[in-house]
Amino acid sequence: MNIKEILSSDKLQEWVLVLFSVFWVIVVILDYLNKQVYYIPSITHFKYGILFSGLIVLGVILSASYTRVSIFSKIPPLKVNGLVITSFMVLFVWSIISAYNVYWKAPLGMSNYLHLTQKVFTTLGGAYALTLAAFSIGNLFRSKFLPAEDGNNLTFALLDIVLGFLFYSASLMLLGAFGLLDQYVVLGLLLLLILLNYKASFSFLLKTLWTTIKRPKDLNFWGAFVAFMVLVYIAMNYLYTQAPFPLGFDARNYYVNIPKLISETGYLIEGFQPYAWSLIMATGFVAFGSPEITMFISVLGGLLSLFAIYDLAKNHIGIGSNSAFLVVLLYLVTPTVTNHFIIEFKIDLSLVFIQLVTLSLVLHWIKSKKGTRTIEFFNDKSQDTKFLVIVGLLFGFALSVKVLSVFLIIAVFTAFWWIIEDIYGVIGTALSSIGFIILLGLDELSGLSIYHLSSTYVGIISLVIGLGVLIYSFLRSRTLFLQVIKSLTIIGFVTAITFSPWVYKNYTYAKTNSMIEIIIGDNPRPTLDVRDIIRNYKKLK
Amino acid sequence: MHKASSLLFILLLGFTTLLVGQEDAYSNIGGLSIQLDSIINDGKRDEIQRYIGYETLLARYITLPYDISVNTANQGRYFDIGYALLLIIPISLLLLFYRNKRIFYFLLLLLLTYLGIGKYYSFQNIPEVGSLNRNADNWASITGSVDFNIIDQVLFIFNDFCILIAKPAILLIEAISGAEDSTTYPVLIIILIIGIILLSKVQSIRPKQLKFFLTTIFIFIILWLILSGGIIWYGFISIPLLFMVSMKELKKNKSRMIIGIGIISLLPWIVMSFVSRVSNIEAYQPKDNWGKNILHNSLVPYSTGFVNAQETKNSVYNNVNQALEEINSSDAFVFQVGTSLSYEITKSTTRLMPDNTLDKFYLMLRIFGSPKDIIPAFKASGIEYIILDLYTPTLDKTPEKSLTNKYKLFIAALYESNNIKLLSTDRILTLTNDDGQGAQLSHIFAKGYGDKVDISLTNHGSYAIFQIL
Repeated sequence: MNIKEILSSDKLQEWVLVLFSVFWVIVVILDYLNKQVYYIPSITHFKYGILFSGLIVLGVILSASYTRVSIFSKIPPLKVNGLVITSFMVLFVWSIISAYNVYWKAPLGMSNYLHLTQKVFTTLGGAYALTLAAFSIGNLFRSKFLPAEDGNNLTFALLDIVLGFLFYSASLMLLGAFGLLDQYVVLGLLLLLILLNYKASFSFLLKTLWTTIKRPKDLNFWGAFVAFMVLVYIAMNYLYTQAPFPLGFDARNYYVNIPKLISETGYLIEGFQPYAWSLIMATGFVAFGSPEITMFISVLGGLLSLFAIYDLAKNHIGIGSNSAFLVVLLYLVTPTVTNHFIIEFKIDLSLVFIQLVTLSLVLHWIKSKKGTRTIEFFNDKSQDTKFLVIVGLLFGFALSVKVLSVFLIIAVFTAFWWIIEDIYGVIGTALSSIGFIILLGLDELSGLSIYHLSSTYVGIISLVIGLGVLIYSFLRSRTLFLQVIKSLTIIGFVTAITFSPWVYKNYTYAKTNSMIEIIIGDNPRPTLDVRDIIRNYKKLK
Repeated sequence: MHKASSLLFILLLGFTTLLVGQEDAYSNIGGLSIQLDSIINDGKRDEIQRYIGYETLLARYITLPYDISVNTANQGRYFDIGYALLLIIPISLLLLFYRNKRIFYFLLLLLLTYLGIGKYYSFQNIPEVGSLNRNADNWASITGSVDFNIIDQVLFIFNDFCILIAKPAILLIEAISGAEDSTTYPVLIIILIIGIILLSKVQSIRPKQLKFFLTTIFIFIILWLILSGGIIWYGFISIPLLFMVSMKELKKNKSRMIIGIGIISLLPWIVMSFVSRVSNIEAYQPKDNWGKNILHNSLVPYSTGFVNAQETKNSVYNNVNQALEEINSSDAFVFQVGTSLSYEITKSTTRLMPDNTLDKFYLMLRIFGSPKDIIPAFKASGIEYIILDLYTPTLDKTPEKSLTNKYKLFIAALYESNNIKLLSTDRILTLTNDDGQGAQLSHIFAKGYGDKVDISLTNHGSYAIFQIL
């Protein structure tokens, strides 16, 4: 065999891959551990062995019972519903507090456990009422517009919740513009939203609390055990929300501070980036007078994003329920993500939720056309338009939560061209988007643009080549090209309309012609600036 | 040669009892000189770019995925995405392009090169732990009983190997890039186009929705790379998405060995990150308490009903309530250097003048020429309070230590003034006289105690609140 033959051998390739994988795994893990200071001490100083041994044993028994493995196949299976899960959460919380008290040594009595339990239920209850209201109104709108399809119940339920949150935040914005954000108005609004679609609300209550959760057919013992560990991890982090104030820097300066400032005046507050999710978080302060609920609403977005990850992974990417739970756990234990669950009560977890639901919807839409020829992809105009409008609404909401959602919008707009298998469309959109970004100066946000010496030329060249490639794409297939452009225009238009109230708000505060400032908003500041300080002092001297 | 007018040396003689930070260099800055021109007064450089690092421009972008995975630029939970993605994505990528042998081998070489580039620049990123050996020493000194010689030795061999493979690429990066350049953006755009073309070539992703999904992730990551400055939470969504596609590729593969390597190698990560969260060890904790803090020690008494909100605030911020009451009883402006205390200030949006990276202070200093003028200038404009984050210099990852120097100068301005009064701080100093008698002082410096007193830092503290008289 010559070298060419050896290199083309399948066996060799497999062994190369195995060797590379082993090498890569060893190097990366060692490299990581070598640069981390606290992982090894975390293991050597681990002090909760009894607690976690107990929880693991419980997890093994429950998982075996739920998936009916081994001796558990002969006894009735464990029935799991929302109330059972909540009860286990309370049990975990109690266990963790008890284990912590070994070192804390406080005189913990039944009254303290009841105090904690009452707080757990109050916080969960407040957040649940909010979710129920969001689902109710979202479902009312979506079901009239876009009927749910069998087999995608979770996708559509999550979509309803996101749409409901969009409607709710828009209502709060309107009320806030007139200074009407007080307890009775917001509680009344929540009640109204629940009652407007009372049948769906009741069904949601039943399904999320009472009805036995159907076990996924492919779920095995390990998948169930991973799901159990997800619950334990959530319970452990949950206690961080039971605080009178947030601890994180950004939470205190921005994301929980905004709801607090809103609750003080009843009005929208001037300045800041668009803050749709902070407005929703304000429900905690305004309606319930509770910082705990306010902070938990930040985490709520994170919890809902776990459902969205599971849904996307299992139902749209098709990796099965066991791997989907593993992805959920991998995401949840990521240290920086954990930080957002326990210290930095921000809006990024909620943004992930909205973005994941948007992606699921687009994937569902593309998948629903399976078997359709490319030329016929956009034939069902009425149904397609409805999907595109909802995608636009979700994008607009995502922008209202965080302007940097524009990354995902551009990414989806670019990838959209694969629907008609047009690589020129993909490359053209990617290049022209990058060109626009550079020319608009969006790269100035990180402060790195000044180090790119010819960025204007790069921006222009990128834009021109991108547009040129798009023109070529148009010339190749005018009909399909125009169909994609029409679809993207619908999404873009609805996105812009949904986002426009925040643009108006930013403009009325900043009174500037800078597009960036109008879109992104500006941090509030006092009337005094550095120039005033210098001038005043010079005058005094 | 610098013009005299563009140079300013601040000579702070007689600061022999000044203690403003945990670093030894701060404990006595008598005779300190700071050249103002050496300070780059760019808040975004100090605050945002610390995530992406300060190496050669092109390398800042290219090594970002490695940096955020291995935590070379910053350390701690706040910045840490762990190694799981860095571990699983390359294996999945090779599986994705497995059928095309040319691309497969090319990609394999590229990945090894990438690892070498990451390792090469990571040493530059953290000069204070400039070699693995020193880093391991620090680590061993903390953990005490663990011997890391084997890890050191293994890593040294691997590092040399990876950097050797990456040497041509490193030379190329150094040749075409620098602190600033015209090549980085074109290179990133070329990577973007190559990526799209490669995605179009993969046979295994024929379904439209999968191609759409992968392209969305790819474009999102490129945009995040160019625009986010390395801030991890701007790209949170890519974490689950990348895990999903990696899982899909692993599961599609027929080789049980590869699936085993992929899945099993993730388990230590899950266990480790879980254990790390439970032990919850932070730099500020006394070693005796390591491993105990599964919950926050100041919040549990509140959630179990032992204390109320005010008592909790005093516990977390060490008797801050009185100072906050003082600030909130007034409508005066507040100059705020870091801290998250704006949450506690009424009318904070119209009263607080934030200057987290001391850019405004530096501008004033350049105009006035001396730190002595700063406090009177504040007073002249109705600024009556100063809130200071004592951890401000720890943000500073710039090679020239701009923020640290600005902070030292700000402390000098506070020290120089006789018209400020400390309202509250959680810093505690211990003063010991010649007879060995010690006393504790809640202040950020021990002004007026003379040279004969030894000063040690008992509690670094996080904040100080001053009133301008």
